[in-house]
Amino acid sequence: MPEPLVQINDLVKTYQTPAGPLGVLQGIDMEIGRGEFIALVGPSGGGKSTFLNMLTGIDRPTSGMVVVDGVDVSTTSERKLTRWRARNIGIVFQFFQLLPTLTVLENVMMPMDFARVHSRQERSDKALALLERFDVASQADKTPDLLSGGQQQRVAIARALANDPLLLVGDEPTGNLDHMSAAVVFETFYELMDQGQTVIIVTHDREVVQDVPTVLKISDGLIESTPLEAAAKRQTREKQAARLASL
Amino acid sequence: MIGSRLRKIFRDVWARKSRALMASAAIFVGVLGVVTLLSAGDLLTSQLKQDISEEDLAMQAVFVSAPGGAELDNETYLRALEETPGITRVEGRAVQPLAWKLPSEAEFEDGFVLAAWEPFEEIAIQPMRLAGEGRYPSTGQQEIAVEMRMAERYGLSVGDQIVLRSAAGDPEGDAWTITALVFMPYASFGSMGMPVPSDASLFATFEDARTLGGFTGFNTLYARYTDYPTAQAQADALYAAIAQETPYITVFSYTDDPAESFYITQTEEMTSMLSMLGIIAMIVAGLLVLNVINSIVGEDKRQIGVMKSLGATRWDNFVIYAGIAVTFGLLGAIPGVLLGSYLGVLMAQAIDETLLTYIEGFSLSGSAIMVGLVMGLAIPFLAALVPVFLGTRVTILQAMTDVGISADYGKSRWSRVLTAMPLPTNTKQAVTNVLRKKGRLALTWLTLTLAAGAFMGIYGMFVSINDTIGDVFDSFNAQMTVTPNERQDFEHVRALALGGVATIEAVDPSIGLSVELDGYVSPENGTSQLQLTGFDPTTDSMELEIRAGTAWQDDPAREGLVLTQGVANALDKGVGDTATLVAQGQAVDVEIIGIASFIVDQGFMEWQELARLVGSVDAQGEPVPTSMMVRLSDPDPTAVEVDEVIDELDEVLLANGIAATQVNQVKFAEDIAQMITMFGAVFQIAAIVMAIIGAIGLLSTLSMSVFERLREIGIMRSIGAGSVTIASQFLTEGLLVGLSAWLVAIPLAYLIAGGLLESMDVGMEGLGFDSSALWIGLVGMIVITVLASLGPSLSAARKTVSEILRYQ
Repeated sequence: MPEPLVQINDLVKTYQTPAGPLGVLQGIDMEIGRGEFIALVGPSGGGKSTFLNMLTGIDRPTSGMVVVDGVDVSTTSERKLTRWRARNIGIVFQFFQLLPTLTVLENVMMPMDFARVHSRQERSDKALALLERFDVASQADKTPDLLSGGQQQRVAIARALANDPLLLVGDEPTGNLDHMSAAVVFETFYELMDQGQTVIIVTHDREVVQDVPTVLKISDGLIESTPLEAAAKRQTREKQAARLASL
Repeated sequence: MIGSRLRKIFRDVWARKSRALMASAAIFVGVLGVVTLLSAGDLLTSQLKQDISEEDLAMQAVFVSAPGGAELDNETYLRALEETPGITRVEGRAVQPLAWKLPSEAEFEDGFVLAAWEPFEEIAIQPMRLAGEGRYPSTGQQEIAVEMRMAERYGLSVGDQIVLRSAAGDPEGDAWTITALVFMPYASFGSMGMPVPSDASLFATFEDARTLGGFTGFNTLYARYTDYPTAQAQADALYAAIAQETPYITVFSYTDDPAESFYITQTEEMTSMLSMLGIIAMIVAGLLVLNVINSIVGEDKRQIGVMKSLGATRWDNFVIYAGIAVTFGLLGAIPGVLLGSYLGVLMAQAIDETLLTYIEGFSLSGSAIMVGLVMGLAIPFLAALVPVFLGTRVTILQAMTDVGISADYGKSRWSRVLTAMPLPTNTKQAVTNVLRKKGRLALTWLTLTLAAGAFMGIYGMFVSINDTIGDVFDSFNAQMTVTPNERQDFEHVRALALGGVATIEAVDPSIGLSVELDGYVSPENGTSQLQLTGFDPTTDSMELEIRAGTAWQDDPAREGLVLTQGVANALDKGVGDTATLVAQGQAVDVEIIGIASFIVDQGFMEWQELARLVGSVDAQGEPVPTSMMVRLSDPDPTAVEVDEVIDELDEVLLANGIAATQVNQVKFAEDIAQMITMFGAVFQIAAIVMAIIGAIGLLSTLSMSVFERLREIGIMRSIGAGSVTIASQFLTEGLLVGLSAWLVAIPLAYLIAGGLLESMDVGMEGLGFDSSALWIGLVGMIVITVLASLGPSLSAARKTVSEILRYQ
């Protein structure tokens, strides 16, 4: 059996507040395999975003361990983590977080610049290829404020994939989109999954994750799993894709 | 990697054009000031060092008065003076007024003829030199040389003829030929130590000059010693030798260390002081950049977090935001250096005459350019260091979860006090907003305080200088002084003046010279020479402000000495005590009969007593004044009117074979006032630079405030707030910051004025700080803050609800 991409052992996160300690994650154990598409759902304040922050190293656990591709994210220094994260993790934010003064193409090139991968021309070519892949290449020379929400989020996904990360994570990636745009974005995730990309998203919207192969519920700091039949989910997805194409 | 960083820098600068413009403008103004002042100073100092040779400078200059009509054996006198211990050389000069004109002109111009006892080629102390082609004039050939600045002014060249009117010659003058243009890098002084302008200087052999000027003796003796300490030690010995070995009377003197010649040190001191002000302006500009970068880093907190999530290191973010600051610097420094270099040359050329040098053509000061560029880039970089360092420390988590307002907002003691105060809501909001961003407030406020303090300090100091010097001239009631080239019979000259010029009301005798005062050390030159003025107390020629004693109030013929407060303090003596004057090699005790208020160290005596003391007597032993104070029937004539009287009197005296130097006291006072105003203006430019930067800082702060509070403005609008309400909030903010800065700037202004006076080493009593500067500063601050607040206020007032909601 192949080694899991992510191993989480007894993950606990507690915040110190004026009202006393607040336990957000109460001891999570799980493994995430390569090529999986997992959606983490749950009520607001349940710990979804905190879990994602532990996974990406943005935040540190109070106790426990998070290992991603053999790297203990919970204890690695910030400096090393920054470099590692640039090459191995792609993050898609709820509010896109594209840099407003750079063009779409430049936004996608930025992670490659920071990670110091490829030559300048290769970066430009690859960025354009990514934009074409997500059907936003025609917006390459525009600044983000001129794009629609759905287009911006697809650019954000392209940016997140710029360095061919092992893991793509999204924190409420469709939270700021209308239903149609949300569907398009999720279709993008499905395509990535089919290509072997490991995707983990968190969302409070159960409706959009109906066809996600693995849906885990996080509540009161613990994870409950509600796996669905993968085949059934795939059929539903194919119907959805066909409906989108007809539009 | 470099690509993304540079892209982000330039795009962010472009996206914040108005702020970039403000920050760059501040740097531009600062660099412009620094480069202009440093360029001017560097050019002037370099030129002076080129022109002036330490080996040629006089260590001691003694201005003397010659007896009238006597045959003088100047060669013997000079050789005798060279016997003074430590002296290596003594040279004699004569500088006398000479009327001249172009052949085509009808009116004669006022000029001066300069002559040395030694042949031109043998002059070793403060020599002139040939400028271009030509040769020095020869005696008896009606040949003359002119200073190159005079030639430039009047379009003269070698071979041209000009008309000179000699003392005893044809009143229409005679034609003389210019054989050379000369450059005289050293100051020349006429009778009474009055400086002679370069563009009115002619040079002749001593014999020719005597014929032209109607004199026989020197009016200046220059001496060099083995070294300067010897000069200081032997200065009084030279005065004694002059009294004993020559018929000359010492009028005034100074010593100067050639290694620290006043020619160069005064320029260096002035330019270093101005440069310091320029650098302060740069630092103030840096505070503005700090303010702007602080706000940019604050606004971009989330972007910094996003870039970190994409792999940017802290160093990457540091380079980006520090790069923005350096870009501001570059945008301001380059035009500042270019324009500053040009203005520096213009400034140097404008004040070169005052600093006794000549700047020709256009040349750049490399050091000033380097300093300007380095400061223009380094100051914004250094200013940005702290906010960028702190701002880029933010973690991804902090950046993504920041909501902008701390949890304890509104809970401070001040907030509670403000809530309880019976102020309009608008005003409370304005005060709260001012205090909300304390860091930014502090920077803006500091900028304005420094600017206001500098402006008021400089202004107050120069008003005080002007007023004090005005008081000095008010002590003299005479509008003219007449100093015959050689001592004349006073009654004869008085009769000629009163009879020959209708507008002359009175001619009073006077004598002005320096005498050794036992126990006194001059703060200006370190010798024991005190300037004494002898006048006639029975006349209205002088009005002294007597602080102690009765002086000549009860007895105009009373013998005794009136000292100024500064001298009395130095001697630790008062009215009734005795002071010892040393003249003609003899010590004479004189009673102190009064203490006067005066800005410089001086002594006053009844003129006849002083004349006898120093040996200014005729063959019968009767006292002879060295000069005359002339009062006109109009008590308040213009300088032009006095000049006309001078011309008239000159004609009368020359017709009677008397050559004299006449000083237009009204013009002299105006020239001094103008010079002070000009210097003051240069200082004020530096202060105004700072005020502009302060205004830009306030404009920037308020603009950022409007930007940050757009949502708040939208909400206020949506609940019915009008344009006036919104605009007035920002206006109130601006005024609060400005007025509080003015208050704190008041003691700073006093400190700056005191510091500047101290560094200028003026040595005048009664100088200080004129408090009118405070009110002018207040008015200026109100104007600046209103203007700086107007733009942002109107901008805020113009915003509509829909615009803001769409933006958000």
